[in-house]
Formats: sequence, structure tokens, C-alpha cells
Amino acid sequence: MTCDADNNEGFSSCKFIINGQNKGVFKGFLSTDIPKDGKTRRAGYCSIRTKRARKSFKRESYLNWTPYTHLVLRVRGDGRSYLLNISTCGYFDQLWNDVYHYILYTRGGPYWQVSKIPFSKFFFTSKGRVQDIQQKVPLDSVTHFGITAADKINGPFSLEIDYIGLEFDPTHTEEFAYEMYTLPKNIAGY
Amino acid sequence: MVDFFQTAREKNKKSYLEAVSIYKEKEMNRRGHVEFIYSALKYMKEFGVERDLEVYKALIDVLPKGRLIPKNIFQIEFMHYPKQQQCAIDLLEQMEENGVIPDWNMEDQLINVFGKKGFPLRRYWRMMYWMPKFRNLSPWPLPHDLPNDTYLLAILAIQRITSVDIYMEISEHKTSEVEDFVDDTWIISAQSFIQRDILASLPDSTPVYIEGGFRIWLKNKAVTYFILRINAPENYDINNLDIGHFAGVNPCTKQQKRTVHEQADGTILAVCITGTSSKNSLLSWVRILQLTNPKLAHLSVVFPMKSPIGEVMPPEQIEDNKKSISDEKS
Repeated sequence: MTCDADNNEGFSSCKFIINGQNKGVFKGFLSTDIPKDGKTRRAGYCSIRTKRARKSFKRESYLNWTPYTHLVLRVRGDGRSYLLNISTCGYFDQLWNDVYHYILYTRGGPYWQVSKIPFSKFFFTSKGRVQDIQQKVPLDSVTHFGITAADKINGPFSLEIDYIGLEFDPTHTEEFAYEMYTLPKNIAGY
Repeated sequence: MVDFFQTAREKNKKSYLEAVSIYKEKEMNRRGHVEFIYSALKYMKEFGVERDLEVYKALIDVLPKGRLIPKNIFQIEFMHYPKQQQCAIDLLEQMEENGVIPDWNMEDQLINVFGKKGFPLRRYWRMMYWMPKFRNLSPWPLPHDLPNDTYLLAILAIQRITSVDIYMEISEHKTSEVEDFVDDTWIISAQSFIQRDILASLPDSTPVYIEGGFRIWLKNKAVTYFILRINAPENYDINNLDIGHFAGVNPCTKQQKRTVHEQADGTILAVCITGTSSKNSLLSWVRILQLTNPKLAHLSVVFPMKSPIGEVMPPEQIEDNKKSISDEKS
């Protein structure tokens, strides 16, 4: 669990708790106020992330999601949209910040919603910048899963989570939703 | 640089564009155009033009045409005129943050300034690829500019909440329609015939809870809503689930499928938003509901302080919420 206040980059706060109904609640207060350090230009993020998958003797390992095509979440939100993050940290430092994102829209209101999101729709970013050269999520080397609240709206947020699961849907044939262009000559891709 | 914007008497789009054109007339040689654009970007919010494409195009027009175009591959790769290019990139970034999608005219403008291989062009093309993809992605679309009126916002909020059941009927009322009203305000109530049937089948003196206010966000505006709820039936508990076949019951017997309103944390019977969000207006809401649900008169209506549905906002917080909306209006 992290928010910008933890890194001296803002004034947001968040917590992840189990409520009286035995559901997980990710809630807090998002603030886009910028600390006056002359360096920070934008603020306002809160996020939760699973622990790194490990094998024996605390060696790092990966989650293998290859048998599945969809991410399924049963949530009750507050009308805000959240960011779903699948991190696939690689071995080299350039790959440490590889994250695949998609947006979780919430209806808001007293009703639960089930969101089923195909992995093919997740787009590739590094350090929060969408990359020119896209690729689909390498599902065999997932290291973390996380949810971020950073929709630039000042105010409290709360996302109640019943479960987060994976699903295999044989009718889903789409491999990747975005074009994988080759860049023109003399342009470095980054 | 700053006085172009600081001296403006009225702060609107017209005066903003005027300031830009004054600069263009005064500085025929475009001295300090990077600084001018940066300060202009800073003043956008103040003039309320940060979501206006025309204004961004006017700012790009300030940049000199032709002079900044790189002439060989080394100039391209080493960012010819870096200050100017970074300035244009920052302008595009501000557009992206405000959700303004550029148009194809802007591409021509940028090509005239930076040539086809400029870094701002690459950023522009990225924006033109990604932004339209995400623009209409939300399954619960809202108008681009939300109304400032709480009544219209409330209708949008109720429509969004009730999108869960297509049979939901949204009705607009005034508290003055029923007797004994204290607050003279409006009520937007939503209930489907499924919920009416559930309500009608309840045994007498079942406790019915009016809970809230809960918060729903419509983009950057928060609206407070209330619900009418009863506790979930006892057998919903996982410890005494009806296990059908294994309990010796014929699995072929038809079982009523649970409706969307019957959740584990209670059955939702109606949703409403009132103008004042006060207890009195909620009492009027119950009276209005009684017109279509005569059964409600035989049930005991309770106003609990807590709810299993979520965090309940205390009244003073609801007031703060309202204030923040009306502040934006002024």
C-alpha cells in the first residue's frame, strides 16, 4: 500500500481494511495538492499491490496466469474509476517498472458489480508512460497485481472488493487489442 | 509576459484569446515566446479555458513557423531547439491531462513549426492514437461537461445507480405533494416493479431501514444518495445454505432465482436523492413511496446510523459536499 504522502510527493492517504462484512475495502482521501518543494508538478495517487510471489528461501518467483484469459473482479465502487496494474518486473533494471494497465470503471451505488476484463486489453507502460512499442501481457511472468486510485479528483474514495479472480473464456479470441506498429526509420522507440 | 493576463478585466475565453493576439501584435519577432506560452498555460485555469481546444491552437500559433525545423538527422535526434520543443510537449501534456483531444489541424500547425520529425509531433501522434481509444470507454457515460445544478446531477446519479436493473422507474417529486412536509424540496426516487413485489410480500412490521447518505462520484462531483433496505433473508447465510440435491430435495423443483436487488448484505427496495438530504425530506420520501407501496404503512421504518452497504456520511459532511458543488458554481 502506497500513497504520495509516503514518498513526500503529496497529501493523499489511504488504507486497506477488512470491513464488517468480511470484504476488503480500499479507501482513503485523494488530494491533488502539490507540496511546495519546487520539484513535484503533479500529485494524487494511492495504490495497493500484492506481495511479490516467492518460492522457498525467499527466492523471487513469478505467477503463471497463462491458462486464463480474463480478470474478474466483484467490486462495489463509488463511481470513480480506478487503474488495474499487472506488473511484470524483469531481471534488468529497465524492466523493473514494466506495468500493464487497464481501467476499472465503477458504477457507484449500493449494488455490486462484476467486471470481467480480458488480458488482451491491458496496455504496456513503463513508469506510468504508455509505450510506443506495445506487447501483450506476458502472463507467465506476473510479479504483482495492484489497484491505483489516481483520477485527479480531490476527495474521499472507497472501493469495496469481494473477490478478484481469473477466468478462462474459450470464446475470447482476441490476442491483443492494440496495434503493434513498427516505428519509422531513425526514430528510437521508447 | 504576465501582465497580458494579469491586467485582463474579465477572465474568460474572449479576453484570453485577446491577450494572445496582443502578444502576437506587440512582438512581431516573437521574443520570449516560450516564456509567454508557459505563463499562458499557467493562467488557463483562471480563465476557465483549460478544456478548450481552440485556445491551445492559438498558443501553438504563437510559435514561429519554419525556423525550428531540423535540417538533418543529427538535429532531429538531438532535439533541435530543445526549449521550444519541450514547451510544445508540455502544452500537449496539459491538453492530455484536461482530456482535450487534438484535431488534425493541430498536426498541420505542429508540422509547420517543428517539421515531421519533431518530438512534439511524436507526442501528438501518440495522443491521437490513445486518447480516442479511452474517450468513450466508460460503460456509464456522462456528458462531457457536467451540469452544475444539483437537481440535474441527481438525475444523472440515479440513472447511473439504477442502470443495474432495466425495469427501474425513476420518478421526480416535490415534498409538497404529500401532507405534513417540513422541507420544501425535490425528491428523485427510483424503484422497479421487482422491488415493489418484494416489498409487498414482506410480513407485517418487518424493519425497513433508510440508510445513507452514501456518496457517488460523477466525474469530479459528489452526490449523496439514500436507500431503502431490508435485511437479507436468514437462509442466505453460508452456514445453512440450501444444498438441494445433497439434502435429499429434488433438484428439479423450480427455485426462484435471486433478483439483482437481493444481495448478501441486504435487499435494496428503493433509491433516492433529495434536495436537502435531511431526515424530514426522507420522511416525505417514505410518504411518497407509500402511494405506490401501501404495504409500507404496516412496516416499521428505521433510520440507523450505520449500514452494511458502506460508510454512512454524517449530516455535516453532506453539507460540505453540497458546498463544494455550489462553490464551483460561483
